[in-house]
Amino acid sequence: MLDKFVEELLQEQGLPPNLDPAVRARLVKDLVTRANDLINKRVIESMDDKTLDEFNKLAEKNADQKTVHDFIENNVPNKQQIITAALLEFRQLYLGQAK
Amino acid sequence: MSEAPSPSPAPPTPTEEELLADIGRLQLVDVSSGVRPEAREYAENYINDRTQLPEGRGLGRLRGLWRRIWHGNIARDYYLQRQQRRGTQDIVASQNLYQLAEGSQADHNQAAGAIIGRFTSEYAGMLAQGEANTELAATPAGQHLLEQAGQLIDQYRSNPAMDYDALVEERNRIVGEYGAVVHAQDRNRGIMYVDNIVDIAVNARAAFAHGIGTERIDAALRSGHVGEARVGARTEFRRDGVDRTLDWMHRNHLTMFNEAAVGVGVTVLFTAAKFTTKKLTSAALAPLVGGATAGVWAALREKTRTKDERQIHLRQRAEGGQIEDNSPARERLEQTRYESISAEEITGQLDQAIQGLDANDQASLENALRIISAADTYTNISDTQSIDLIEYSAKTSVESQRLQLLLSLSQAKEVLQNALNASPDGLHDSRDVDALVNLAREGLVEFINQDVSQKDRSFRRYQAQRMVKMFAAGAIMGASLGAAVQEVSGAIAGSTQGLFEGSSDDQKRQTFLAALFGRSSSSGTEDVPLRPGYWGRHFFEGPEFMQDGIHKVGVDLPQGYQFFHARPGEQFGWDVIGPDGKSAFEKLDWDKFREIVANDKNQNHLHHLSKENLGIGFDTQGNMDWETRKAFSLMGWDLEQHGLAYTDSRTVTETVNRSIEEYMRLHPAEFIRDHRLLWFDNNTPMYRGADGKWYGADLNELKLWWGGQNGSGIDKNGNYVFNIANMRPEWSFHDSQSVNAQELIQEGKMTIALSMTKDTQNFVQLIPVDKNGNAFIDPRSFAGQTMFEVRDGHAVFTGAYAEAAQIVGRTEDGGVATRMLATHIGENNPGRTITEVIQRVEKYQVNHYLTALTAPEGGPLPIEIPPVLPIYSRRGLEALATPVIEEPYYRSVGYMSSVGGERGAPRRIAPFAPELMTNPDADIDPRVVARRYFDSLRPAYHTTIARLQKDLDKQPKAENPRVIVMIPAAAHQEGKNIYHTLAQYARQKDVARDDFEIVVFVNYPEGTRKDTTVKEVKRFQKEHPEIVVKLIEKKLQKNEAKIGWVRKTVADTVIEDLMKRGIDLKDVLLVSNDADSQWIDRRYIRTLIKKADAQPEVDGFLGFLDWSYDAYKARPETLAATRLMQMFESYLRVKTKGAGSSGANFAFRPNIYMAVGGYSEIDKGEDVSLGRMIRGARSGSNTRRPIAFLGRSSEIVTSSRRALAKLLKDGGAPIMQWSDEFTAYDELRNRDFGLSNFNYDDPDAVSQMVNNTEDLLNQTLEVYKGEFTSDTTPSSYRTGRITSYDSEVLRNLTRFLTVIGIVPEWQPDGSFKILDGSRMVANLRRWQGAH
Repeated sequence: MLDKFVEELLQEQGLPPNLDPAVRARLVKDLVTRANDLINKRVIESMDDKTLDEFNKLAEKNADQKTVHDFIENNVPNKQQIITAALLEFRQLYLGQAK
Repeated sequence: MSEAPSPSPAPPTPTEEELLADIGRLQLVDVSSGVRPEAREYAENYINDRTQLPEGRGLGRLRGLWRRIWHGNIARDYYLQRQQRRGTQDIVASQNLYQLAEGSQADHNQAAGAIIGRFTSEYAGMLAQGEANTELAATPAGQHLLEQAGQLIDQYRSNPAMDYDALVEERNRIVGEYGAVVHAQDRNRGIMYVDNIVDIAVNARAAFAHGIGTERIDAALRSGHVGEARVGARTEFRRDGVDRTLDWMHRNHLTMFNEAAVGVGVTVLFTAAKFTTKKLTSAALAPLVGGATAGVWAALREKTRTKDERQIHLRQRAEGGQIEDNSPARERLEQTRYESISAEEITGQLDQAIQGLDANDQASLENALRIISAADTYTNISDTQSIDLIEYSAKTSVESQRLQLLLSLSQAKEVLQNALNASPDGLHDSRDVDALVNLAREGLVEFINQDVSQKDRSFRRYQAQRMVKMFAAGAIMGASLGAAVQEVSGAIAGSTQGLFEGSSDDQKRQTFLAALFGRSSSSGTEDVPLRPGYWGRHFFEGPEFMQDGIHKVGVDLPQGYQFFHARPGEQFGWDVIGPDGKSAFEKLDWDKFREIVANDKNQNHLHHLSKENLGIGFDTQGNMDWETRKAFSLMGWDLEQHGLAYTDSRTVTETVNRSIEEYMRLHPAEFIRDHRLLWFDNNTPMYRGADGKWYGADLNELKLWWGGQNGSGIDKNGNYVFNIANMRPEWSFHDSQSVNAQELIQEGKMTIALSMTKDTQNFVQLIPVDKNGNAFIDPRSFAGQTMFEVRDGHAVFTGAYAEAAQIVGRTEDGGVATRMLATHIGENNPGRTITEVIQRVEKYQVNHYLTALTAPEGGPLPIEIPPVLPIYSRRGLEALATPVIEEPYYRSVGYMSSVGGERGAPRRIAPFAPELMTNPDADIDPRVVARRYFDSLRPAYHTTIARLQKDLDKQPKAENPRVIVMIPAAAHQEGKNIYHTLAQYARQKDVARDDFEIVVFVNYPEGTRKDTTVKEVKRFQKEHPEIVVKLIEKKLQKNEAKIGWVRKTVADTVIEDLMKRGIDLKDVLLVSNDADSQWIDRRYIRTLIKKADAQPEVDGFLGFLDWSYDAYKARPETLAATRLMQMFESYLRVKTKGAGSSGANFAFRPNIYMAVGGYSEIDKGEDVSLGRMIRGARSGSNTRRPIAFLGRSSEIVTSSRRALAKLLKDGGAPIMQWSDEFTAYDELRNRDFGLSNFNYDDPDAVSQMVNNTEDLLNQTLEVYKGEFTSDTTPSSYRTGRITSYDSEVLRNLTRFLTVIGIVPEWQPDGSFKILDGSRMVANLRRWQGAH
């Protein structure tokens, strides 16, 4: 889904349609990573101390993806808002509309 | 201000046992935990400084608002990370934990000594939770370090030629190598160690010099340890935890969400945030939804920021920061600070408790137990919960005070245990001190937990208030800005819709702005050219796979580095660009590289890498080639080859054969439903000719001909061509309907409808007819392949019908309505298959190499690009005041009191002349000390003085100056004074032009306006070319606006300038003066030169200082008190054979200045501190005099504004004038006191003046009496209360008062009352008349 989001961003940014597909793919991959990092950051920042401590323990145990998802599902009640806000932030950041 | 010295104690001579004991404890401690918080705090302070500018007016106010928006909100994260990265680099580069907090190298050394002291202590409980100390020998790297350190120590002990610098350098290399091995992945995170290798080496040499045998020394060096310390305040920055967790997630490619969650978010944005909005309602909704989302965003960010700010506040308060007036944010956060105890106070209580401990006195035992329990509980909870319950007097004192507290606690427990063991039975439930402490702490733990809980609740309330406020601000601004952005974006971008777009009938794009101004916006979706930097690499750092025209290459660069291909299409065209924008290969030693390549016989070198033509080479699998690897290795980079197998995708072109039906199914858009409305009339009986075609009368029905070359139906490009150009305008009709075929052709309304078979004739392919009547059919197209053939050079239509048709319009089913003018009947035998060229994406497995590169000094930490929405302003925290030194700072002697041992840090008075530690008489080589000193300066600070030095270099110079007078001048306040001050140097006698230079450092704090100071200096320069006056200028950042920073900067700039000019620093005296000197003795400069020559053993010279006479005339009591102060100073100078220091009149040699670390960057007391450090450095000297007095010929009369301000404020004596805060911002320099001469004829005023004088003189005495000693008795002021004076002291005090004209009556507490002041009044009145 983030791929689609990023594709739309690139379109909005005015990416030339004749761009080399390999370059385009690389752009998409990089942006997806960035967007993912930003969402992760905002979700972590939203956690209270206790939740963050528990989440840090997951990191110490090198938990897998499913464990992380389950943890977020159960411990971050407003995750949907945070994700949407992070996506908006990323979009604004990338498009630089407020410069 | 000036200060008389205290007697200098000789350093104690260590015993053999002490020397050997010091050798035996090699300890290395990782103090990296202190680096990150320091850098973080530095970054936060940076933001706070920029968002706390004083409110200005007009543009100033606007600038302040913009800063709060930009630094406080939009770019906050960016600046935080940037400053944190810079701060980390500064700390590590300087090897000074307190570099960012203006702490000196001596401060760092003191803390390092305390940390080492804690880790090497024999007491239990000296390490906090989370700290560890393990055998170095337990790991290969540790074993290697131990061996190397041992060799170094042995080398230094046995080789007298090895100097201290070489020892330090070698230590740095050894420890640096160790850190690189054990922290290979984290080198750019601020790895830092402290250790005692150098101390051990120095002690080993000293032991050897004391005659202790080599074997005993070697045997004393036992195994070493490596520890990990928790440094600084205990409150952790939560963001550190966030960053660590983020790193983990990034490394493992983990996400926080599933596809569904992010899908909802994306959908919201797609539908509401104008990604694809095509209707007015959607566009109007977008900013509203955007506003709500922005509100959420703002609230969430505020939550994080308030938490960050609280952590900053708690840390800074624990480190001694003081809240200043008008700091509402600080005051609010202070309400959430946990109850804490002072480390110094509890340490003092512990010491007192065990001093007064009596095993038979239950009260004393319980008192000790209570204090021990408190210290133990607060310390323990601080460590385990990472909160600050213990506060320290200053950031730089945390480690030493913590060490002292822990030592006192351990000792107190030991003493209490002994007392309990000796106490009578039945006094306590247990004789075990730990058990009793545990019992006693229960109530305390409950109290602390309740307090913590309550303060956290208070903070959450505050946080919630802030979040609500920021939600509202964010939502409003987000919505407003969203609408604005929508409009602007819609006006300039083809892909975005404006609010008012789509509202008009003609569907033309028009923004709200355009509608207002009646302008049609451009429309269309033409390609947007690729903007330079649009997908700039700074945004896409990280592992790279790129096509270089031949093959893919893969590198993983340190962040901040970029991989560029300078010659696309060539195999060897790649280059690595560093964060500085320069090629990484600029650091390559090309001569050495060429030599290595030339000498390598076994390689088939392509020589693609040269200084003139950079080109990193890869083999066909992306493996970095030998030359490239060699070049990187030579530059100190680490290279790591990774074999990668991954799935990639590519587009494949292929040819497929399809049936007609299959093709029609797959390409329905190519076929259109044809509704034939009528056939225009035929004219004739038709007949078929011998060639099989129809002939006869013609109403255009026979005018559908083959076109192309010679009517073959094929043009020169191989296209099949029908032509209807010969149709007659008036010949097509049916009943009352007719058409003009030629008009239809010109209007583009004619087409050729191709039916494949009679059965499928309802679905046709339409071929447009151009204005020449031609319809072209591409032979590669579906129609060309299936309905046409070439036979004998002529086209043959194998389909059913080719009809020349008029297009009437579209039908509801998406088809067309046509009227037929002519028909070409084909063979009704089309081809059954069609060959199609298609492209498809296929995945494939790639085996590749990725080269991970690590720069030698590590890359910069990642920088988060600034977020942009919503825009609102936000203030950071107000700055805290520098911790107040409790004792009268001008009399403090605490700095030099620590002489090692377990209770204190090693004595390091002169951090840049360590030879003084063992030989306080040593000559200091200015070149050596300058190298050490300047190497220790922060890079940013060094840049500042380098720039100022360049300014100095452009100005006239003295040939061989003996004296450099340095005058800091506040450019916002000294305009009225500076010319007059400079004029005092123009009237100096018996000195030549080249004997001295004056450097005026004009400075003004950010946010203030410059007055005429610069103009006045320039006017003086112009009018007095015979005096060398140089002007340098700087706007001060808030952290620079301290007199200590200013004096240090001008001194360092001058020294750098002298060195660059090749002037021997031994020949020069640096002089500190003020900008508001009112009178300077004409012999001043000559006196300085003569004394400097005559007394080479003296490091610093104190000049005579007096204050302006107008104050004395108006307030005679200040004259009396000043004279008493001067007599005390004089007395102490004689008694101690030394002098203090002063900012307004002090001279010093550059070498001693640098040896002690220069001026302290503090906001007051920097002058006294310098003198104290100089005396400390020479402590125990037999042949040197740290500071000498210059005598009356060095007199400077300076402004009395501070003394008067103090008197008027709270009746303070002149000696107390420096006790108040004064900053670069104060307005005192411009204050008009409205002075007029005192009226001695008013008896009430005289009586009041005498009373005032008594008060001021007693205040003065109070300050000095601790220093008065006789040769035979210790200090008469030891316990805070004087019971009697030594007779010699009393005699002198009485003498001083008599000189003033007072008959004193001494009181039991050491003060006096004026029995008779009549002679004093007469003296003062006479003085007023004479001046």
